[in-house]
Amino acid sequence: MSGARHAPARSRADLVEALLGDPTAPGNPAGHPALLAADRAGVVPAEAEALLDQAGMGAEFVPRELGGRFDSPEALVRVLRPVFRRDAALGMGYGLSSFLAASGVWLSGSAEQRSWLGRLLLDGSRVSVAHHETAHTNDVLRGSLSVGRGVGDLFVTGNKPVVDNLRRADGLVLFCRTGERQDDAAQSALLLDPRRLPADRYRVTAPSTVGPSGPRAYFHAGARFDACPAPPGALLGPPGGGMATALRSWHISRALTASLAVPTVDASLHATVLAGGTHRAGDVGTTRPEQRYVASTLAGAFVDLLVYDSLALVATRALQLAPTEAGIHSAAVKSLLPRILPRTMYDMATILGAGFHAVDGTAVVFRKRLGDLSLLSLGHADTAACQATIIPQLKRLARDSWFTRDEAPAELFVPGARMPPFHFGELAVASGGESLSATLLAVAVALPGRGPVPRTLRTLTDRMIVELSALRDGVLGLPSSVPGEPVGARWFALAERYALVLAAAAVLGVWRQQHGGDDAFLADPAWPTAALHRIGRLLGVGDVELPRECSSRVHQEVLARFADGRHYDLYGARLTGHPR
Amino acid sequence: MRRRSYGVAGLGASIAVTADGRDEWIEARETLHAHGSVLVHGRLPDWRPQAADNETLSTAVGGGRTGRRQLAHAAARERRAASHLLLGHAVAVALCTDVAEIELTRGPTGRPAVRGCDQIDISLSHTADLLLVGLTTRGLIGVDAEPADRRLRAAGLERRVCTVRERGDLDALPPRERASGLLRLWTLKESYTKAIGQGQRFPFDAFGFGPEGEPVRVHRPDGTPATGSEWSFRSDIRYVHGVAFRMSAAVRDVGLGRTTDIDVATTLDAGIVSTVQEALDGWE
Repeated sequence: MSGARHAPARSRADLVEALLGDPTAPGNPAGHPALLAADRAGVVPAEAEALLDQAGMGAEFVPRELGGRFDSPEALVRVLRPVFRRDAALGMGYGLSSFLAASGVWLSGSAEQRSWLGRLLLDGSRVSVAHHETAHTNDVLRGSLSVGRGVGDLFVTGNKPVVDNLRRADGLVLFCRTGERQDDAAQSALLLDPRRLPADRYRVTAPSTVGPSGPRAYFHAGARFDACPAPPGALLGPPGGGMATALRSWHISRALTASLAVPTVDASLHATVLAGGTHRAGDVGTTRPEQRYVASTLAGAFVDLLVYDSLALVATRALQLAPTEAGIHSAAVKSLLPRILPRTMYDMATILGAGFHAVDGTAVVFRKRLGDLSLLSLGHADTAACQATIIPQLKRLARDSWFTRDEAPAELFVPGARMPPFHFGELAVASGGESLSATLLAVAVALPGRGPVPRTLRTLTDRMIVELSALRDGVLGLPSSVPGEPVGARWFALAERYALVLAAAAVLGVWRQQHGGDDAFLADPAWPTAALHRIGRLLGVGDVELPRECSSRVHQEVLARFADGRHYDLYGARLTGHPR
Repeated sequence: MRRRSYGVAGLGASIAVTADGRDEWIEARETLHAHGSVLVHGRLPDWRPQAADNETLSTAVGGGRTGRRQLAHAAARERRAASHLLLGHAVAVALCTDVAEIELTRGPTGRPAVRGCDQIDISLSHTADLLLVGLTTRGLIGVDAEPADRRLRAAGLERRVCTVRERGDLDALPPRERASGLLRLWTLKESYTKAIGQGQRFPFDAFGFGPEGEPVRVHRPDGTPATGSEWSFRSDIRYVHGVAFRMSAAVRDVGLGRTTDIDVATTLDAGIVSTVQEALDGWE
């Protein structure tokens, strides 16, 4: 992709799509057979990585002012979606994890640190990160480090059993508890060159057996530090500022990870549509699903994707357009990942029937993607970290934002629309403000009410507003939490409901901005109606019936995009090697 | 305390619980912490909701139209209420919180969940006077129970719910064991498809299980094993107040290792909360 430095994201994404080629083509190093073989062997898919190296993918992770191509989180999502579509473990292990490690440096690093790391990534190096262990941790995230000051040097101590890509990392970002205080908020971040650490004080530890099978090649090592000296210049940002850096970098990582979970499900939907139209030899004697069931299940899966992609889009674009609020959106979308997407996968599995357990490549890839979703979600430990970002802000949001703020800017909802330059420095840890929910109210005012579909959309939008109102009452009705005191289970229920309401607001915002656009389907009220109906069911709204034409319109689009070889996300780009 | 045997994923035999019991709930909590999953069961009479729900029951059967359908409807409602009570109690014990704080919810496919608390996955089955609950911190769980003497064979289900291979296995059993064998397959299939949130939407003849005595795994229709160590199963017969029940359970481990602390009170990371709080103070 030389010469692609200033090419727009869409053409860079198209280049990656073309470069990785038809995933079903025999002999394609980035095709399913090669990726599955690497997965089975527990090794990194070297040839696929080499293809990405040749394309200079590392530049996508480096800000423009440092000689790279990174200029916007959304652009990075578009460039990485073709990789994640083929294999989430490759996408995460090859690239995203390096970018997420580096984001701490782009956020808080000195000019020297930024330029050193930029050069590494431009040369194709990997960067690893070890975060501090948050509450309700799991085996992938377990372990903490601490840093203390000695004469002239810093000293790092601790054990982190799983650090992605550590064996081949040329840069290492550490978040360490500072020795002086036993307070988890007192963290300092460091940037180190792992190749220059003393061998008797720093050790790459044995392969770990944890992690879903897909990414295990990337999880193959951990780090142990034994009073390991680090130069004072290794500090990333001010001493004690590590937690703020980590939280701001998580805004980015949550939005990107959520956005990049979409292609995993998108590709599975393609596989399911393909399977739904054919019946396998291995299925002889088993019940065929009824066509009506297949149609409604495919439509439901597509709607789930659009719901999730809408909130993921808003979260990603908010990093740039609403950087003080973005932490809320990104925590909301990430916390919904385990609630929505695995179920979507299993819904599709019912169509595959016996094909779900089959030994052929398509079925194996489908099942691998289920495991990859666990890798991307990181389970409850990450939900808990998202909740820790949202819950302390709920009182302030209920008081100052819900029903009082102006609606979010229109550009937040338009996939791929131009934005002002992205500045890492503008991302706030938290501001207690949010304008996405106001979009719900703004759209409701202007909704047409004629015909069964618009009428239902109106009813469902009203239900979401009632839900927001109940949320406000619920949050304001709970006693204020005392710092340091635990909060009760009700807060967690409210946080989940709030995330679902934000998803509804994102859907309505995305739909409204498509009016008069080129995409007749995205401008049609059928999909937001089906989307709010699905969100409503997750919220326990069970008394609104979905007009049949919604589901049939969505199903029609499922088939149309399949026939045209287009993605099932909001961008709807064309894919390579799809049978026509 | 009885000694229980646990499989690889720690699926031990179900623990009998009552609303005012104590030791068995401590055992249930310890089992969940030690093994990542636990099954508990109760009897309908022990978990029948008190006053408030009796009102609903009387409304349902009241009005002078106490037809059989209304009675059946009221009984089903009562069973649902009792299940809900047991489920709420089990979740509260597991998460170390008050039952009144918990919101139980159902997903679009009817799968129960604890709103806002994804540290635990739950499943519920009720039949006759028995309520069975499964809890796991490993990923997904599904449970199913049936009276052990239930005759599915008579209902002609076999052809629709078994693979050819399973039918062959059943035919190879002595005639008087076939009904029990079919019930075992049925409850395992229910457990597996409930764990993946689909229930009978997932065609039961599209996958199978091997005969009793072998390690339980999902099989393809041709009898080859289709799941590995990520899935674990249990199926046994338990006597509850002299009545035999077939109880089955399926657990999927999502592969992120163990989360041992799942208490509500410790969910929010103190470091994150205080950093967010400091940032908010800066915006005042």
